[in-house]
Amino acid sequence: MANSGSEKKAPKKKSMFLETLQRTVKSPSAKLGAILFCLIVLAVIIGPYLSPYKIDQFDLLNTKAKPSAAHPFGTDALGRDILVRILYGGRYSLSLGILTALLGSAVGVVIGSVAGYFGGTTETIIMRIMDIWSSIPGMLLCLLISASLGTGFGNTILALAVGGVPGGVRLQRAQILRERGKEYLEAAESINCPKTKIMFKHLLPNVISPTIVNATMTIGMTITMAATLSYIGLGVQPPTPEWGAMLADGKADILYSPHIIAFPGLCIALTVLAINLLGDGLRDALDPRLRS
Amino acid sequence: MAELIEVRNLKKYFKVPAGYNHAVDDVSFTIRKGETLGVVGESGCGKSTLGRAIIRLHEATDGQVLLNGEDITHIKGRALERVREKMQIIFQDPYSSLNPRMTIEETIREPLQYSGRFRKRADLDAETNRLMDLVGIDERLRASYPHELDGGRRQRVGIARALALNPEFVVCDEPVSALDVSIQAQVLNLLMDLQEELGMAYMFVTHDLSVVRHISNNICVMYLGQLVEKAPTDELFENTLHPYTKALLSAIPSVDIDHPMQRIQMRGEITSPINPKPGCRFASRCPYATEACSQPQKLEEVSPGHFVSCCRVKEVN
Amino acid sequence: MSEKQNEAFLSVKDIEVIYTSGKKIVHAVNGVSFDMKRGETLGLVGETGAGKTTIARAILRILPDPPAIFKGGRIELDGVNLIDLTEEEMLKIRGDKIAMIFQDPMTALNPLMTVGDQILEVLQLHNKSESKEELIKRAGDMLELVNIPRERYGEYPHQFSGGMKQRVVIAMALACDPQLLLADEPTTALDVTIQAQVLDLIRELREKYQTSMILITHDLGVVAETCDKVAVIYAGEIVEYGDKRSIYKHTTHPYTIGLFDSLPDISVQANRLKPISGMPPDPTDLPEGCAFSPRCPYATEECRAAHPQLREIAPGHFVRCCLRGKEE
Repeated sequence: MANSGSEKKAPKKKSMFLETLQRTVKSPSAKLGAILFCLIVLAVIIGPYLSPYKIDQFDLLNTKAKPSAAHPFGTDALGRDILVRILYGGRYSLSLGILTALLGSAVGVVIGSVAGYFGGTTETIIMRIMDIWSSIPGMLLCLLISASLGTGFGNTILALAVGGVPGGVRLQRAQILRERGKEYLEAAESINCPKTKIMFKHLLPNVISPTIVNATMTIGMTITMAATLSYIGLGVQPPTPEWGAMLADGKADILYSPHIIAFPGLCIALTVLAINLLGDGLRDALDPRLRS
Repeated sequence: MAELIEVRNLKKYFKVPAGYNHAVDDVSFTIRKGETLGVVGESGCGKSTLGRAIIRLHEATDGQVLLNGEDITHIKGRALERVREKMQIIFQDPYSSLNPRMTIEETIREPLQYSGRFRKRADLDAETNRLMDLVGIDERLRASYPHELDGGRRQRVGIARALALNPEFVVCDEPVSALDVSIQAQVLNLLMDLQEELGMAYMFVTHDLSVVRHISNNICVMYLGQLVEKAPTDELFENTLHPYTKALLSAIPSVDIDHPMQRIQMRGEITSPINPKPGCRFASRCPYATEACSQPQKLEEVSPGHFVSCCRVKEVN
Repeated sequence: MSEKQNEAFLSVKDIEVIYTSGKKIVHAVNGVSFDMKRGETLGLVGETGAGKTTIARAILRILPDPPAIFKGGRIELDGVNLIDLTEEEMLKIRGDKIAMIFQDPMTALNPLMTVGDQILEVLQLHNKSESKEELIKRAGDMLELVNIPRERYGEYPHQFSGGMKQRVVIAMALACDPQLLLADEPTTALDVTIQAQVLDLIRELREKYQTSMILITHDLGVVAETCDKVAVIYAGEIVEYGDKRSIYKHTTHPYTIGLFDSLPDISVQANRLKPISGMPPDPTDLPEGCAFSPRCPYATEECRAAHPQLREIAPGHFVRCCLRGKEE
């Protein structure tokens, strides 16, 4: 058996990223999510260049116009084309959402893993800090940071990410605690696997799925949170369009010109849907138990 | 033959809200090179903790563990790594003892990588193949994940991982109790074959007396953290002395329908190992218990190599 | 009365169950038949995945559908075909006439309810007319029946040990006085000494109430101590069936022989065990001919070609094997 077997080599491993991607789009819903997401990203990158309008091009004679051939999504209270504003604003909203989710989750994963894996005093100290942290209302924390650091893009991300950290830490710690007693970790210890390697090679890949799903959901939440910040003037500054801010702008006209609020709202919903579908597919693709 | 492992008055207590769980309480024994010590007891008796304390997966509360005469109870760093290569463990649950995200090949190769013995990738692959062959895992399963294998094959992977570092001593923590009977026999035979071939010593932890009779040279019976009886295998089965060992033997359902085992009735259930009172811990369930049993018991040699911890051993037998 | 005792109380005829998983079809139970008289205990023995639990679930009609599909067969209890009953009628049968004990007592009990109230709940479902006080007293009686003091009525499952929890589960199963008890590995999760106590209890209660029982287990020792009849299951089929004596003393099917040989014998220190070689077959792809033939040391071309039928080789002793029992 040994000599015949050594000739046929095990199939060469594809790059981890490519393989995961392939498996992700295997399920129809994840494929839909991926296509939708790619379309949205493509649209917000190229779209503004193709539009005949500028984002701050007023047309005061044609305000709150219903969708038409000239303005497929209509115009807002100042007569600006909603379509081009959505496309342009999508750049901010998307990158804001994604970067915030990434930052918040990454910090949560690191702190939560340390707390869960090392336990003892380290865990107690970390978790008490998180308790205090999360007892400050998220919005207040957000305002505090925005107000003290200023309103730039980077500062807005920081302000939005901070509120999500305690939740991320708790989630990650709970996952680690659930997995910590498993024997394969003891096995790793007994074959002299270094502690950091046990954490990153053995433990982390087995507990990361809920965090990935949580991160995708955070994206949607962040986009709406960012809207609130914009509304009170601490987020992205006008006239730069941003989906949340557009929602806030259209609020007053919701009864007579619902399209002003409907299209940005629809875009947020579609984006969140695409990301969630993608997130579910990603979770399944990362788990070898669900392959076959 | 030389003593490979010597355990002296080993204690392992766990702190719990109600006090201390005396998981292992003053246990001593020796294992010689190439021999098998069976450790038998019911769930919660501390037998798994004992095995893990010896190979330093748990830090002992008190007492000593000697490997080839060297005290390894509290060694650290590089010295601990060196010692760990000589002492390995095979786990009970072939489901949770393998990382679900690593292929069979990766799992078996991992200890080889840390050992630093193999400079070239080709040597590493050759050794991985040799190990897979040794435990009877088909080459074509190398890229499979644990969930694609049945329990018996998974357990073989666990065995290959433990053998990768050429250990002198292997703790087998209920390695067959999660397996079906026909597969259980295959794995037991494999363990015995490997011992013959490689000359390792085993500490075989189990709740199943019939399995332990099969594989052990000596047997320790544990009850709530303490040894109650210790003897060479044949002696233990032919001349069972401790009331608990007797009860344990009589409780095994026998396949002999003409001569069913006369069951020794035991009262109640295992009491808690948290803050135990002095005195015999089995007394509350023992049919022979008297006043004298509330005194601390000592493990005494009643015949050569046969130790019992029971003050009434003469009256009972 | 004696006439009634002799006729089959439970009659299972050619039941077939498959599971669908994606495009694959798992042949879990492939034409299993047996009869049971009142008060009898039948042991279903087999390894993981042999289909034992599926048979019990099919009788109780609690197969998860999908993925399980009941393909055919009859299950007659006291002359009534359970397969024809509506779900409402079946609800009355479950608990009233058939009760099931599951393997894991930890998950069979509700952690948020006291053990007494859990027994009471079962009693209330089946005795609508009686007063609550009366039923609470009965629940206490049930606890005492399984050797748990009445005073522990108000305690929660986590305050009980594993063996006691399993006894509570038994009390719940017996609370409505079933005629048939399905026990699925009732002692597998327990320690040997506790297992001995629970088995003794089950035996006692069975004799006291004349309950019929199907005991599902992989442990031939447990069957030897508890059952009257034995059915050995392999790959969803009965391969050997008969009373306990014929199975244990005149073991005939090569698989059953292999099972006995695999057991470490406590009375002798043999050097090596004699395991059955190979692995149980993949239930999505059962071998042609006899399902055991790839692992059977006696298999011939005939075994690999034709699927053997269950044959009576001695009165009441059936074997599914092309080779065995022919010489007699």
